[in-house]
Amino acid sequence: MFPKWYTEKRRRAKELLKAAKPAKYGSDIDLNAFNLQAPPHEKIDELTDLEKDVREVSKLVGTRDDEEYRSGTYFQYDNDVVYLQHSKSLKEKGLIIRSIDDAVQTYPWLEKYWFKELPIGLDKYTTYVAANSVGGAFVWAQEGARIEHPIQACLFMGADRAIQAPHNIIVAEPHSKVHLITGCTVHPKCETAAHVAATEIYVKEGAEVTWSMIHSWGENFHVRPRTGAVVEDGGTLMMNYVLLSPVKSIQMYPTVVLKGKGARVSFRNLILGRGKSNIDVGSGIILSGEESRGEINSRAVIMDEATIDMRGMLRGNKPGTKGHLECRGLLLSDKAKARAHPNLDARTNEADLTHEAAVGKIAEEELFYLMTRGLSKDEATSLIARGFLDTDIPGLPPTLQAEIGRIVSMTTKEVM
Amino acid sequence: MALLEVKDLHAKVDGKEILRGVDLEIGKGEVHVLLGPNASGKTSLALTLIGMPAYEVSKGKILFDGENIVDLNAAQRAKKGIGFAFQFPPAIRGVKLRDIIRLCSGKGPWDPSKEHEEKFATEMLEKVGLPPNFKDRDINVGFSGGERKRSELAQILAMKPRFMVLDEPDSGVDIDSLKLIGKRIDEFVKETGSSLLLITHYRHILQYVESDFAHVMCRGKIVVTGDPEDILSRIEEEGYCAYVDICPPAIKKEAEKLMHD
Repeated sequence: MFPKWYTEKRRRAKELLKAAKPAKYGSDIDLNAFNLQAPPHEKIDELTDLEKDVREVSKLVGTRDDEEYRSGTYFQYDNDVVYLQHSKSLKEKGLIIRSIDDAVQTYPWLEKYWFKELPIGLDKYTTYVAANSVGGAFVWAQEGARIEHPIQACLFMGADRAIQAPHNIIVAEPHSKVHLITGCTVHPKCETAAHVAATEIYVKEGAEVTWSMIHSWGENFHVRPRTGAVVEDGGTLMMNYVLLSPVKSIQMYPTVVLKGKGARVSFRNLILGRGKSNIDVGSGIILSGEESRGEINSRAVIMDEATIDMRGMLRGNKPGTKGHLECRGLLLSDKAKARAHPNLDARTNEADLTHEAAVGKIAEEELFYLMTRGLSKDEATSLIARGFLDTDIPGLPPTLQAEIGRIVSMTTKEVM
Repeated sequence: MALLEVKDLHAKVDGKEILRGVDLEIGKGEVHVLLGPNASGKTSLALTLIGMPAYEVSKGKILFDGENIVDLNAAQRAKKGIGFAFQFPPAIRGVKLRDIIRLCSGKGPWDPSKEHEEKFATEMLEKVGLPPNFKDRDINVGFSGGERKRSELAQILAMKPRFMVLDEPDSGVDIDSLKLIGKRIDEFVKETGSSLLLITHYRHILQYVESDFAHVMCRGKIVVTGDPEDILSRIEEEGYCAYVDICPPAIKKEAEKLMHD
């Protein structure tokens, strides 16, 4: 049974939704045009029981169907959690993975985390999830639990004209360590759909959390993930984002509050903008803890007629805080567009905030250099594009990293 | 037949003529040294030979193996066996030295699952005295002057070219690097029978690289060809003024005066 606070909060969110405001950035999506209902999917015993198409595409977003090198798996197909598994030994070590709907009934104390770092009224997408969420993963690393391998959560969409609206919560208790890979993708036959999501991350004293979000959509998809996080004393959060497929529109601006002394966050965004994708990706850091540190590193290769806005915000509230923002965009076509919007906001004269931004095409000199080594112009372009996105993503499994490289070089080669 | 025959080569950059009728013949296995004051056209000649798009050939021919390669792009010329070591190679973030070395050798990109592929890159690096961890470095990013020269040479050696142009492989390197680079070049020429056009300002490297001819360039032309030792000795004594009429009269007068004193 759902606790009273939960039903009450959903009811209030539904009220708010009537007058909810659009997001500050990105095109305004009519969420009513999409169906919250989807045909049900049955539970499976093994990930390999999934149909081949589903397995193949979910692999591209980091979901291993053999579950090797994974500490647990959460698989949501449309609105149903079809698979949820993690080893008993990890439970004993202090790792809990549940579907959020289940977790909220088992752990009513989740009230204190429920839309706390992500205000319900932030924009209509957040309100929509608060009012209507179905599914999402709850990951809870208990005090001192050090979980070696990542947990994989796959949010898979199969129903056409549907909307998926999960709510994820990660709670890392003091001195715990956990990595969640969230892969979001769609069935090749699903043509048009929307994905809105709310993710809240709580990093307690001395805890280390890595959250890698890997997206692979279709060219008629609207995507609006919302993320809020807080990091306490000495905690570390690593936020990785990878987008390699075309999408109709995506807009997100995850924001992390470094509340504790010496808290740290690092963002890595790797984006391959293809087709007519309209991409608006920001990263925000609020440095409120003494000597807290934050960095944002965004790389985008933009081709075809894709457009990208790369935003970054650093706000230094306390002396001794330090933040760095780096945005680099590489344009591979005349019709591609890239804009960088750095925003540095020092609220004390002892906050040290810096940024570097560069957008442009490949330097002729670099192409020529590689051509003198016997590479054709297309091969050289592809190698440079791949190298451009080949930044080391901390914590990302090497196989996944290699896969990213492979996709980038294939894609850039095929279009040239 | 010479391997490379350059005939009355004229080239322009942005409409400005920078090569004004270069004639040059290089036979198989020959080593030619190209000398000349700054801005005389040495690098321009090299870049025109390897096919840099900005260097537009307005007249003349570049015959390689008897075929005019003027209309081929840089990649096609490389595939024919022409290798070029840059004086100032660009840094390319994310592109690893190991991948370039493999691509130079005509193999596909480096496959991390195959151990023997790693060996090839490290072997090449070892030859030029770069530590094995350089294979994972982004090409030229944060390389010192000497490291760049060594990395250029490792790539050229991996290409196994039939003809190579080395643009000042000896500038800005310390004495140990110079010795190693010189020895490797000499070895490679002797082992493979490759031909070489070596651009330099200094005779030091020629202690290690045995050369057959020297040319002096001035204002986009080769003005003198001869025995390297003779030409270098005269340049060292008298400066380029000995061969070319490039010195403003005041300086020439001063130089002559100094020599007579």
